[in-house]
Amino acid sequence: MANPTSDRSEREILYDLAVELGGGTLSGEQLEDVRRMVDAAVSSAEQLRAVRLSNADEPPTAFVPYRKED
Amino acid sequence: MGIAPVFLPVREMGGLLRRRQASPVELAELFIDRLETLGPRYNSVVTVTRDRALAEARAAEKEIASGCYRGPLHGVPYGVKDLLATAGGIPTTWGAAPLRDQTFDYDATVVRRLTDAGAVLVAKLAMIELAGGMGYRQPDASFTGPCKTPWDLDHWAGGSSSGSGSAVAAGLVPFSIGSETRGSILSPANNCGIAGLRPTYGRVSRYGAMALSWTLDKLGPMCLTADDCGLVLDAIAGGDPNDPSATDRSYSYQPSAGAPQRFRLGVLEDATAGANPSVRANFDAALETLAQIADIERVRLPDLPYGAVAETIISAEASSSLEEIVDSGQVRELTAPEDRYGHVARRAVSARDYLKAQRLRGVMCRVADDLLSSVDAIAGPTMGWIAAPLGTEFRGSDPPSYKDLLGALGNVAGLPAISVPSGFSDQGLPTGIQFMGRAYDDNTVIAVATAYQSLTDWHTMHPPDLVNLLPESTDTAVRDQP
Repeated sequence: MANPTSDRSEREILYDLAVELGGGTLSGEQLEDVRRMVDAAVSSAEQLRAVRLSNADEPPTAFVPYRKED
Repeated sequence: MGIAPVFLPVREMGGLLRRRQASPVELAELFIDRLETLGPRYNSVVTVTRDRALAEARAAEKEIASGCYRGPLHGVPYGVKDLLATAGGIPTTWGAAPLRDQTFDYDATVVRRLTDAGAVLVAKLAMIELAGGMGYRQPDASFTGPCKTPWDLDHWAGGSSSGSGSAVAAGLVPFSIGSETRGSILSPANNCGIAGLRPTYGRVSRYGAMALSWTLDKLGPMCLTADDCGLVLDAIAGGDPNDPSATDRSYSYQPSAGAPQRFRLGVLEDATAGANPSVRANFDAALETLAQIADIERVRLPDLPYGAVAETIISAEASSSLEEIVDSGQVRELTAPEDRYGHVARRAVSARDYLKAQRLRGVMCRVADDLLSSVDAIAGPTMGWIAAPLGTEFRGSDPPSYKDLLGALGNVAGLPAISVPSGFSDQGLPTGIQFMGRAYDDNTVIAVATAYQSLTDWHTMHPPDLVNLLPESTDTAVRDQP
């Protein structure tokens, strides 16, 4: 996801984004904890991205159009 | 009547009630007294629903006396995790300090169905705040305090259905309802030494339950025996127009009906790798016992990121489901410090990654079904660890190399699983064994667990200090832990 021309890692970009959006009042220790959580989320995402899927692999949740009488 | 059946399975208690050898009102009063006097010892109770309980118990007593018997739960007291809505001004706190006065004007479908079955609601039970949706890492993450396993008051009951597990193990309620998104029924069943059933996703309506992760949340029974879990599931299962995820597939509990003479059980290769030594030893002993009734074969899961899929889905869905708590600022009033800012990191989960996790989930559902089509169930340790000590970060004390593959796959694929006790650690803390089955084969996992319990007596053991507290006249059939 990181811009290939940027020298900042995805982890750093997402950490900055998360803190910018929701971490304004956190202490230094809390911010370090947030950094660890972001690292964990990116690690999970990297495991997901490492698996190749085809276009036919849909999410298992199906949208159902609504009709009140149904 | 005069019988005080603490620690009796629901099936036996129901029999006493049906034969009018026990009184619903006396039972309600007995368990209310235990909830009020013993509940604080374990931090397992949020609200004792005395007025409602006594009204329901009186109605049950009148009906049974008139010959109108509703079934095996009629007149049986129970408690629910405090994320299930209850009408009548009874608070529904979700375990969270800022919501301690929250009320609803309706009953959750599960509560309504138990009312229809004649069961008597005696308590709303403690839970990890917001069902752990903010990423807690320690037992002290509830405004009612850290919930304790009755086996050792210095150790955690498990979570997030902490009180539902602790209260059953302590004989404060004959059965309870918990919820599981990723381990929240099986963990307290393990730590408290009781039976906990995670039904197939959609088997039980979630209407009126706090939403954490819409595609992962399940509600299920926690009882003294696997058989009791079947009785309770029978009462609460079924479709619900208020919950589009609730399946219309019919369900009825049929104890051992259709169960094979010998089961076929799979065990994952490296099932106990990295687990606590007591967990390993007790699981190996359980397999030796199970060999009397089952052919056991080693099975292998394809190498897929099961845990990462579960975590990504929970993070993304909880970020949305709990946004009101965050946006209102109530999140800053939560008990566990890490729960006050855990939401911040979740902004790092992208829609693309969430959808990749959901697409992988479809693959995993097929993988699981393939694997389970050749066996009746997969057996494994319920947890790789024993109950964590209070005052510590339990995630830090988990064996770092233990991978909870069954828990991740089972929840991601929405599969039924049941945990029953398998022994004790050197410290006297319970361990559990789980049986996970094919989607909608809830009866099969209950049958396997019931067969295992017919060969073992772990489920008949209760914390010695509680046994000693019972009145001499109590008909409990209890035994001390060895």
